[in-house]
Order: sequence, then structure tokens, then C-alpha cells
Amino acid sequence: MYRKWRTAKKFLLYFTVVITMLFVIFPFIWMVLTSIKPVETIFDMPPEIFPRHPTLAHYQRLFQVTRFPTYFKNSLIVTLSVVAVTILMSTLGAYSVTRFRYRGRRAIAYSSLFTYMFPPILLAIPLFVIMSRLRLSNTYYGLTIALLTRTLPFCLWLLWGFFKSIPLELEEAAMIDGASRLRAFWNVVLPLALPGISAAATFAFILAWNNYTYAFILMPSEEMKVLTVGIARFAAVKGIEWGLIMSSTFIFVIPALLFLALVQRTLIKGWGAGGVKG
Amino acid sequence: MTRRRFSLESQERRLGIILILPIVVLMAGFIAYPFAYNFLLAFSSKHLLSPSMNFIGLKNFFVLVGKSEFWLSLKNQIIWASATVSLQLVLGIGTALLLNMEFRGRSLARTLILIPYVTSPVVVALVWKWMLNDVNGIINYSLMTTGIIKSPITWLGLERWAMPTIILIAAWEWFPFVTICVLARLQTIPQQIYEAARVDGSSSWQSFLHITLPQLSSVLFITILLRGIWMFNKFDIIWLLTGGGPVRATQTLPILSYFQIFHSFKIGLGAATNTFMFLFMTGVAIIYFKVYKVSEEV
Repeated sequence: MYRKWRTAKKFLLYFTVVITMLFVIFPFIWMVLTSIKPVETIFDMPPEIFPRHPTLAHYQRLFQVTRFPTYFKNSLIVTLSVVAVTILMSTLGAYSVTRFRYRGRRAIAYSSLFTYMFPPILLAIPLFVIMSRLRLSNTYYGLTIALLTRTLPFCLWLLWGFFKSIPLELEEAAMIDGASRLRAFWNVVLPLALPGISAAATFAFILAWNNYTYAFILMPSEEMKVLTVGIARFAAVKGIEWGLIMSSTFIFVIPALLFLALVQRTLIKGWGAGGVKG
Repeated sequence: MTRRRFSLESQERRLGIILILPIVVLMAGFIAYPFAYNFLLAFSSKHLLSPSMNFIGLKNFFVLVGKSEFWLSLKNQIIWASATVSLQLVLGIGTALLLNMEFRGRSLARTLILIPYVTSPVVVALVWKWMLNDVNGIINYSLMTTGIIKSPITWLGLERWAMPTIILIAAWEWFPFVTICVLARLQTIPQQIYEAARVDGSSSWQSFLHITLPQLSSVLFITILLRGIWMFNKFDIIWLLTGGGPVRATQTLPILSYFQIFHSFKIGLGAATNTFMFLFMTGVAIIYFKVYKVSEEV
């Protein structure tokens, strides 16, 4: 009797897990399935769940007839610039606030995080005016700078937590042994901070790659559009070519998913430790 | 040792400041300055494409509160934020409890659940638009074959359904944040407490109510605050799903301000709208803090 009850409970648990996971990933499964269906069967009613004649025609068309490659290039340039600058600045910044004493170092970290509460649209409008005055609208620089204001606060905060947990004694020992500060930083601190840095890089990548609002307002010209704005635009124009649209969104999500898979563990840990405190 | 550390620090204080300086400059130039500039704009009359700017005091705000679409947008925004945050909490706490149990494939499940959260609103909007398509969408088809609805519904195109639909989609996209925050906290609750409670004869529901929830209160406090602020401020997902329509049924203040600026070219008025929104949100956050503090003391 007891065993039966346990089996039933176990079954219920696995059933709930499967339903939950389906709820979470079904839209992505549907996206991939739609993207490999031939045009003739996409609109079939009742819908064909698994395509009998899968095709890559939509992907081919995507690269041949749309501006997808241009958008992709623009996204890649902006995103990689944001990640590189974010990591460089927030690593040095976190090292600075945990290893040196000067007035206001806590205030910097806290107030930068506070800016995370500002409505993006509230900042995007004045940024639009400022960027056009600096002649930075529709440039990679303009959007990169704008996105840095979103990635830096959180990454600085995250790395602050990581750097705090690295004991000062280790560096001091290295420096007593004759290593310069730079060497101690490079050989002792950096390797220990690497999990945190990779989590910060992932966060910056996902935020920059996915951002719509800033890109929409600051980079509207056709040649400079990034993927998010570009895809939304041609979805509006080619409204019924769902195979084409789903193939573009699928390619779009791959990099973010790869990143997520790579650093999943540290990200979750870092989230608990640095991002939101118990 | 201590002395060495001290002298080292005072000597190299300048280096520390140099290392943090890039961040400070960037924040000052591209957050603090735009933030302040927004307030300046809110008190000015300025055409989007002309450089001239006239100070007009509170006039923008008077114009704003005199318009019914402003109040409608504010109402929509409050409904939107509170409904979607509540749903995210329910889904987030539920899935966190589930993922805290022992089962095979748990770490995979913990990764998979993050996927909607790391997906761009653009992708989310397009995939859901396709699934919600009135003629060929899988959702209408499933609901019709199971007999829940008789004829297809244009979910995003009807005033009655647009708001509930975007609330659900946003809940789907952002609940994993709650899951992860709650899960991180759940893992730190010592198992002994539960065992002691079980020995004392409390049911799992009672344990949840009297052990789990109180332990979660601080993490829930911060999660509700963050999600509340972020959802209240949302522009992208609403803009991409409905553009504020149909007939303003999903128009919130960020959308209204976008129209004021990029369609009517009144950048001062748009800035005033965003300023109001920000002050309103700050006020609610302060009240929220006070209420939490009171309930902590009781």
C-alpha cells in the first residue's frame, strides 16, 4: 500500500515536471518545427506537427532575399563591443572598490545599481537627443555606449561580490614574494574571479544581444539596424511568411542559448550571491 | 603586515580611483546627465527636430492630466504591472518548489526553465503572435478541437482579450527570474526544520505555510520590488505585441510617451509623461518599503 502511494507520488512529480517543461519550451519547439516546414504545409489545418518533408528553404531565403546578414553583422559588432568593454571596465572597477580605500566607493556601486530602476524609455529619449547632438546616432559607438549604461551597473555589482570573496591575503603573499600588483592581479585574483567574470560576460552578452528599446530609438537607419529591430521590421513587412520569420528568430536565439548552457551553473550561483541577497 | 597594507593603500589610492573612473564618467555622462536632462525637457516646449527649447514651467503636466488618454494609459499600466507580477510570482514560486524536489534530470530542468527569460522580447512577441494567429495558430486550433472555444479568436486584436493575452505572455517570459531567486533561497533552508515539523505531525501544506513562506519573505520582498519596477517600466514587449492597441486597450505610459515624441514630435510632453511615471513609481516603492517595515515589526 505504502509502496503504491510512493509510486503514484513519483509519477505525479514527473508528470508535473514534464508539463512545466513543455509549457516553458513548447514555443521554441514550435518555432523550430515551423521553420523547417515547406511553405505549402505551414498553414495546414489541422496543423502538421512534425513536418513530413522538412526543408531548409526558409533559411536559404533568409540569407538570400532579406537583410538578415547585415542585421546579424551589426548585432555582432555592437554586442561584442559591449561585452568586451563591460568586462574590462567592471573587472577593474570591482578590483578597485574591493582593494583600495577611498571615499564614496560604496556609493558608486550602490548608486550605479539604483540606475537599474530607471525606466529605459525615460533614458532613451534624452539619449536620443544627446546622441544626435554628438553625432553618434546611427553609429555603433552610440548604441554601444547606451547599452553599457545597462550592463555596467549589474556587472560591477556582481563582480564586487566575487572579488570580495577572494581573500586579500593571497595577493599580499604574492606581493611579499616580490610580485608586482599587476602580476598579483593577473596570476592570483583573475583566475579566482573567472567564474564571476564569465557570468558577467553572459549577462552583458544576453542583454546587449536581446535589447530592443535602445536599438529601436538610437539606430533606426536601415543599414545600421541590429537583429532585434531588423527582425521585428521584416516581420511587420512580410507578415505572413511565418516560416521565414521563425527561421530568423531561431538563428537569433542560438547564441544566447549557447552562452546560457556554458555558464549556467555560475550564473545561478552568482545570481544568488551577488545579484539578489537572501 | 597591517602596516604594509595600510601604506600600500594610501600610496595607491590614486590607482584605485583611476580604475573606477571610466565607469563613473560613463554613468555621469550617459545616465545621470540624460536623467537630469529628462527633467529639463519635461518643463520645456521642444519640437523633436528643432534645437530650440523654451522653458514653460508646469504647462506640460497640466496638458497631460487634462487628457483622458493619460489616465487611461496609467490605469492600463497599473493593471498590466500588477497582474503580470502576480502571475509571475505564482508561477515562479510553484516552479521553484518543484525544482527543489529530487528527481532525475533536475539540473537540466533548472537550465531549461531559464530559456524564456534569456530570450529577446522580439522573439517572444513573434513566436506568440504566430501561435496566437487567428486562422492558422496552434493555440486557436487546440482550443477549438478541445471544445473550449467555438470559433477562432484574434487574441491580440480584440479590446477585450488584448490585455489579458499580453499579461500572460509577459508572465511566461519573466517568471523564471522569480524561480531562480526563490530557488536560491529554498536551498539554504535547513532540512532539519522540516524534519522536526514532520515529527511534530505537521502536514506538507502546514510546513509550506509556517516554514517555507516566512523564510522566503525577504527574498520575495526584493523580488516583488524588482519585478514590479521592471514590469511597470516595460515598453518593448507591449510595443511589439500590440503597439498599444487595439484602440488603446493596451496603451501604457511608455507607449503614450513614444507617440507624443515620435508621432506628435512633442518631446517636452513625452518627457513630462515619463517624469510623472518615474515619480509615481518611486512613490509606490517608498510606500511598499514602509508597509514591509511595519509588517516586519509586527
